[in-house]
Amino acid sequence: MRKFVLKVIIVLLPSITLMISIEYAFRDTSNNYKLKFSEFTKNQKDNISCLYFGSSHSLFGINPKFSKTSSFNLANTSQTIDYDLKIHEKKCQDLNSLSTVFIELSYFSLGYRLENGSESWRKNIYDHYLDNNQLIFLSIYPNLVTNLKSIINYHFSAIEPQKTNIFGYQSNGIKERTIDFFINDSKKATNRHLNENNEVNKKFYTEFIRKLLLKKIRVVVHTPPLTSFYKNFFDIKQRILVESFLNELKQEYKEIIVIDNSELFNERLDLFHDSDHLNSKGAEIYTKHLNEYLK
Amino acid sequence: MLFNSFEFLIFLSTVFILYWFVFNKNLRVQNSLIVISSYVFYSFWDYRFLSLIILSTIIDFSIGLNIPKYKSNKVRKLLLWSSVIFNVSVLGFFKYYNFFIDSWINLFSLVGYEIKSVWTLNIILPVGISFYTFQTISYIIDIYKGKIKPTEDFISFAFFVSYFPQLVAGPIERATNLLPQITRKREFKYEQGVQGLRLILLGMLKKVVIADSLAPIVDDIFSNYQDFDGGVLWLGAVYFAFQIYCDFSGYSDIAIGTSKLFGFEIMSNFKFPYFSRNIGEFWRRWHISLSTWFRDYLYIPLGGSQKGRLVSIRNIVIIFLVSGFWHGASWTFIFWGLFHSLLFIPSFLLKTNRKYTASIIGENTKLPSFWEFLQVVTTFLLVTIAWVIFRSDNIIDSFKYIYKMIFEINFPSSHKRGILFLFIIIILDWVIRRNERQGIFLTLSSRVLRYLFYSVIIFILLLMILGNKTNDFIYFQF
Repeated sequence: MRKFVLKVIIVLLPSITLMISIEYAFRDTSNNYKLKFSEFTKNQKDNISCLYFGSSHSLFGINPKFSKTSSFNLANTSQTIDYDLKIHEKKCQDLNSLSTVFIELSYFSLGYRLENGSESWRKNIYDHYLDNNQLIFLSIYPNLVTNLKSIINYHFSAIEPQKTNIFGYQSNGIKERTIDFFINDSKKATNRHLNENNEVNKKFYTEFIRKLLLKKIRVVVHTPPLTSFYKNFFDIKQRILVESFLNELKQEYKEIIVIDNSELFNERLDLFHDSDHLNSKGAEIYTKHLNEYLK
Repeated sequence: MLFNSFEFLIFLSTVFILYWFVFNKNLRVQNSLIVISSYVFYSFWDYRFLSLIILSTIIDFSIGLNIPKYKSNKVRKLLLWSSVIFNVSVLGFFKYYNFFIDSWINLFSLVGYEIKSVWTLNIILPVGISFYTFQTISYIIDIYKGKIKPTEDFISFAFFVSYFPQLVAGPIERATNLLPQITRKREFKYEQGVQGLRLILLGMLKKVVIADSLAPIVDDIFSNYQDFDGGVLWLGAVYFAFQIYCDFSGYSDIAIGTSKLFGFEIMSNFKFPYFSRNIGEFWRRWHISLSTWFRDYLYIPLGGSQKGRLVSIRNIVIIFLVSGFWHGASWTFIFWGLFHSLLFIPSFLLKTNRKYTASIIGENTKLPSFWEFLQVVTTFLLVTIAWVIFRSDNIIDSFKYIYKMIFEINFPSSHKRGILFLFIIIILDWVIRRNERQGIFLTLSSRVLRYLFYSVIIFILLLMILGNKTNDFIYFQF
């Protein structure tokens, strides 16, 4: 029996050691979440008067560098409204100067739930940084090779992973795109983005809005700019649902600003990185456009 | 509690330590520990249905004890039938009640009578009910036939009914095999323990890595089959064939491996079924504990193949239909059984069904002969078509799916990422086809390499299990 137990320990030991090492390496590696939560909380929290929440549409679409007040972008890829709310509750409670919050309500974000999609691995990262109760290591499985590569690059070659600027904005750069590219990308993205969790998310939207209003913070709910291809390919029912929810919010909360910017850059394909994300030039123009809603 | 969960790892380690280090002095206490652990294990799904297992245990224990006490065949038969009727009624109510009501309503609506469905109930299917009821029925029949003597120890019988490694998805054990082991004093055997761990590892690998990776691709193809070409539908069907195989045989490997850790040898459930050269051989290699159960307790009592051709064919159709129906209250399972009977009957008439009872493909060669290869591929394709019926939401969908597979066949345009997993399992099975399953690890003669291999597999499994990237076992629903 002793031999058996010893053998089991010998077999388990390398895997457990590897797991612990990866966890430590991961915690030590720079990433968007760590940067946003630490830089934001450490350096800028006394000045910030405006926050932008949302998914990749806001992450790549709003550059607070061009905001007229001191602002920070807290959006992230596939970040859903419940995480916006959670981030606000866990990380933004001592922002004394906060006066405006931008909430994204896109065709994608109303129906999407992080835990159901292919990006569900990000849930562990949020849980780790917001609740301190999850191993980040568990999030690596779907992107095992990429994640291990980024750890190795960071620790052994000092290569920084792609990350946000000090305002929480991540640049997409500017790339030449053809009409065909936008059409094909629209088809794929609209299929991928169609989800049916609208009712669950609606509750989080209203809860978030109510909590902000209680603190006398100005709330701007906006639908970010999209290419016309993306909009036309999107499921008509979901489009109507988003539009009617925007109207519901307008009716129910007179004090908030609700704006549908989905057609704002309809004629400007040069401002888009793909069918539904702005490029860095688009982000600059869009951020300036949003300035008019700031207090 | 799933085998592929973190809770099970903790549960298994705790029971193992208590079993061998704390309660190892007294067999009765050791057995009681297994019974309590099995009840805890089952309660993780739904503690309310534990009462069903306990009720079934008490009733069958009492009936079993009483059968040999009576000399009169009438009374003995009455006791036998009361047990069978009790078990079948419980199974029938929980598993088939709504199916029969709905089928009657549909039948009436076909002839123009619309009946409101007021009789259907919101019934939850208790996990494992199909497995443990069959186990207790076989116990009573064996006592009635004088094959075994009933156990007089209630704890031993409760152990036999509820033994946690095989409680929820088999193998359906026989009292002749398990009961003597339960009543015998056990000693930990190093080699048996190591074999058990290797089997658990192999089973986890099959379930967590292969079956769970194929599952989302299969779900996508079967739920949107109208949108795909015939080539993709073939891929979907083949993926499902391997998904269900790795899922179920993976579960069986873990069950057998876990049993070995506690000093028990339970029956094999799968013996490389996709290397079968005809349908008869397939059924001797697929879900062995169920097919032998039907053979011994239904086919043979009906007369088997001893009462003329027509009766034999009738018996074949009956056992395949019942076998299909055992899987669930749906017409797809019944048609699946019927389809298999149609595949089996020609082989029965040509007397080829008893061919290959002992040998395995490529018995003495590294590769199969061309003829063997052709036989295996043909059998596999027929079985795969049957899996389409089994996996589809309804009969109409399965016919449409098969129609597209056959008449719109072309080179698959997408969903090819699952092919790698097919190669892995085919190679794995081919390498170990002549040996014990756990022998796959022993093919690596270098101990260092072997340990490295174990570590990599454990690492991947921990990653997936701790990250909750695993699914339920398919056979839990039956």
